[in-house]
Order: sequence, then structure tokens, then C-alpha cells
Amino acid sequence: MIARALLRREVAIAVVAAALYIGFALNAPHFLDAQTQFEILRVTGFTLLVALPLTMLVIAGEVDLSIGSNLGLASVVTAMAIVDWGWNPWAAALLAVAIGGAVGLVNGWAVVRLGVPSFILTIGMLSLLRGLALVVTMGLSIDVPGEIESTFFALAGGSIGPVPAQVLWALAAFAVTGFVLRQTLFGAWLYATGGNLRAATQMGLRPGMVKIAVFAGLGLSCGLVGALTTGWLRLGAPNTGTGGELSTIAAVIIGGAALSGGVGTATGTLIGALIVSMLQIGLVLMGVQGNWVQVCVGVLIVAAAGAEPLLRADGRLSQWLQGLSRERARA
Amino acid sequence: MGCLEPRPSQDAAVTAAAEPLLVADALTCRYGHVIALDGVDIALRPGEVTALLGDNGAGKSTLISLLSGLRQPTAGTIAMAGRPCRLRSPADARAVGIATVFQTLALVEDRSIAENLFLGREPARLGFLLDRRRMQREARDVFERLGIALPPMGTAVRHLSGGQRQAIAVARTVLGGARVVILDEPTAALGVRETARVLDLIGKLKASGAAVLLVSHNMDNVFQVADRAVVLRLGRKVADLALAQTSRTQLVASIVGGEEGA
Repeated sequence: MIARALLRREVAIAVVAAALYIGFALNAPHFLDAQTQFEILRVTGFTLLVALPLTMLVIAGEVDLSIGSNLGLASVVTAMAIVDWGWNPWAAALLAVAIGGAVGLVNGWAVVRLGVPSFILTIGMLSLLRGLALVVTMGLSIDVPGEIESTFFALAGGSIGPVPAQVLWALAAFAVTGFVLRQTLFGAWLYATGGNLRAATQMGLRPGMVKIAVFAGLGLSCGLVGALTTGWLRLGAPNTGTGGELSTIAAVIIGGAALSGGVGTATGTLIGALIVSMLQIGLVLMGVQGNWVQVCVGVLIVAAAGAEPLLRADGRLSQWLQGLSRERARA
Repeated sequence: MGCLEPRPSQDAAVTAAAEPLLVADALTCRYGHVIALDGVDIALRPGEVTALLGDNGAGKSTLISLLSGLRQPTAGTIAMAGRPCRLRSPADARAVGIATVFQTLALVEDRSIAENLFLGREPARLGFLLDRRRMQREARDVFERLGIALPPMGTAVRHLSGGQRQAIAVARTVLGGARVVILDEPTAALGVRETARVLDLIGKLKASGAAVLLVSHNMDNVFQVADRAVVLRLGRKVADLALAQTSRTQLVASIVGGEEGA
């Protein structure tokens, strides 16, 4: 029974997450402080806002490495529109979301219609968009002065009671993603597209349109998170989101989505994001040098990817476990 | 040679059984200078299993791609229930009631039986919500009707055997309202027991009134389930036989093109 439950991806990683939590609670000073706990939730929330739409894209069989750069450009655009052009912060955020969505649309179009592999294309976009963010700001951060008032800043960086606003945004995104994946036609098309592209086409689906839609949705989310970051920090820095693609992809992969497509859940990604942010914050609290955090996240990605063939129903681990339970039944 | 010619008396007997549902007339298909199919006529009747036989390169694949809308004929016509139709895509073919189960089966491994059954035809509530309850119910119904026993409808296809997968692909054609079902080597990768199950399923398809075209290399299978056999050789139809009156030797001779009748 326990062996079978462990074979379910969500259960397995939930156990890992719980073990990490207990480990940090015992070893990392101040880990259990309310402030730390909410910080973990805030970081998780930010990761999730991009990791959830990325999960959809990975399910559809594609990947986007330009998410961090897209987010950075959006953050800078928001700040420029507010400070340099005197735009209303809401309008500035809307512009950032639109640009993010347009970038996603271009990515999807190039992958589907031109047939460029998404890995290569989005590495190019990673560099291109980051370069643009640096060029338009001449490499300098843009401060949003405190005199500028707007409800947007409260929504981006405020909190309801002790709960950071980002956590609420992320919860909404989690609910929507889980709903779309499990309850809608689009969710079924997503899994079919990534699971067997040829079958999807033969059975009359339009997998190309599905992919383009998810690329665009992911781009919109990057734009939104970029705008929220500027609203929260009151700062548009051209290096915002650098390296963010790594922790985001880590959350998705640890959460059980397979880069080969067709597999993944919102719950898995939620737990994956919790694990990544616990590591990032817990290790620092333990006084571990920051660079080691990156090593640990890397180890987890490799372990998660390595566990994939083991955990599959016809994988070695499950064969072994089935053999064990058969022997026990005989004894 | 005479015994290989379709005998008029037999043809008349079969025709009396039912009007043909699908009639292909003088189908010709050229790839550049190569003539893959040369003036082939074929008629499929409801409640009848027609075997399509021939050596490699005889034109079987070309014929089924024409009938399933994957390719367009260079010349010749296809009519369903007396009405001529142009099949420009698999969707066109499905729309007129012709469904093909290819050897690849077009199943999504990590998805459930029910989801695979409704792939590309998902029932919806409010236009965008997946109606899972209806999927489960209709899936159970169609398998019950065809007498197929399967694990629970939520089981991923990955866990199923080759015969069970074939059954899902066949049931999918029935669910889509297909009246002509084309099966491409359905038993090619199966063991003895699984093969028996698939043949049984073909019998049920026939009983339900579908016109079945069975592409197969396996003579045993053909004699077990088929009523008629159409034999192609080098792109031409060389025989159209009622199997009840045909011996295995005759059939094999017509496939390999032996001169024993001359």
C-alpha cells in the first residue's frame, strides 16, 4: 500500500517536502518564525505565477527558457511608463502584460509555424529580451518615487493581515490552472498534444493552436509578474528575473511534469515550488553560503529527472516494489 | 486462371444480401511515374467483412489512404450510400462515416481509456467544460455493446495490452458513428489469445451492421472472420472472391500470382 502510494508523484514529492520542512525546522535558526514562513510563501507565490503556466507548456511538450528575461523586460517597461512617461500605474502594468503576451505569441508562432525547437528559440529570446531591458534602461534601475500613489502598489506588494498579496495571486493562479487542466476541453487537448502529437492531429485536434495559446498565456503571466515586481519593490531593474527561469523550471520538473510532454499537474508544481523556496531560504538561514543553494537546487533537478524513469509504472523501481509485494504475499 | 476470376453467380449472391455502402470505382493513384493503384473497384457492404490482401507493394496501403482521406486519387470515384464524395482529409472521411484504425492506433499512453475514446470529440458542458461523467458512461456503454471487458475507464492506456488498445481504437470508430471501419493489420503485433479477442471484436462489428475492410497478411485470420477477399497485385485488382467457396490454395495463388491455373 505505502509502496504504491509512493509511486504517485505528488505523494512522493510531498514526503520530500515534509522531510525538508522538518529538517529546516530543527536545524535552521528562525525557520519557524512567522516572518520566515510568510517569506517562503511569498517566494513560492512569485515562482508559481510563472511556474503554473509553464507547467501547461511543459505538458504540451514545449519549454520556454525566456521567462526570466520576459519578466525583466516587463518590470522595466512598467517602471519606465510610470516614471518617465507619467502613466497611471495600472495602464503601465497593462502595457507590460500586453508586451509579455506578445513575446509569448511570437515564441509560440515561431515554434509551431516555423518549426524552430522551443529550447533553441527561447534561449535566443532569453538573450534578446534581457539585452533589450538593458538597452532601454542603459543598464540602470528605475526607482518609482514614493509620492506616486496607486491601488496598484497595494495589490502588488501589500498584504491582507499577515498574508502577502503575492500569495493570494498565486492561490488564484493555482485554482485556475488546476481547473483548466482537469475540468476543461482545453486541458484534455493539452495532455493529448504533449502525450501524442500525431494522435492528436489524426483525431482532428489542432495541437499547433493549443501550443500557441499556451505560449501566449505564459507570456502574459511573465508580463504580469514583471509588473507586480515593479509594483512591489517600486523598482524597475533590468536584471530582474535573471536566473529565475532556473528555479521556475526546477519547480515544474521537481513537481513531476515531464519535458517529454503529456504529464504534469498543478498540485505537483505547487509542491515543487514550495521545495525550491524552502531550500533557498532555509539554507541561507543555516548560514550556508548562497552559491551552495544553487548547487542544492541543481542536485534536486537532477534527482527529480533521474527519478522519472524509476517512478514510471514500467520503471525499475516499480518493478522491484511489485516483486517485493508479490513475495510478501506468497510468504 | 479461371478459378481466380470472380464468378458472377457468387457476386450476385452476395449483392442480394445487402446493397453496397461504400463503392469505389476505378480508383487510380500515381506517384510521379509510378502507378501505385490502377483502376481498382471495391464495394463494401454493411454487415460484411472484406479482407484486403496482397503482397508488399501491391497497393493495399495506397487504397486505404484513399478511402480514409489521407490521399486523393488521381482518377476514379468514391461513393457512400450512392452519393459520390470527395475525401480531402481524414475529417472528411469521418464525416461521411468512414473510420480507419491505423497500426499506430493513435492513442495517448498517459491518458485514460475514456479520454482516449473521446480524443478529438470530447463531450462538453457549457461549451468548454469536460463532461467526464458522460464520457465514463458512454465509454462503458460502447464497450458493453461490443462485449469488451476492460479495466476501469480511468486506467491509463499505458497499462493495457496490445489487444485492449486495439479494442479502444475500434470502439472509438463505433462511437464516432462510423459505418465503414477500415482495420490496418489489427493482429500484426498480437499473441494468440489477444488475436482471438480482436477477431471476436471484428465479428461483433460485423454483427452491428458495419462494413469492415480488414487488411491482413494472416490467412488464418482472414478465413476466420472475412466473408470476401479482394486481392491486389502490382496495383491492380486480380481477384474478388467469396471465401466460403474459395480454398486457401486458391487464395494464396492469387496473391503471389502463380501460373498454376494457366
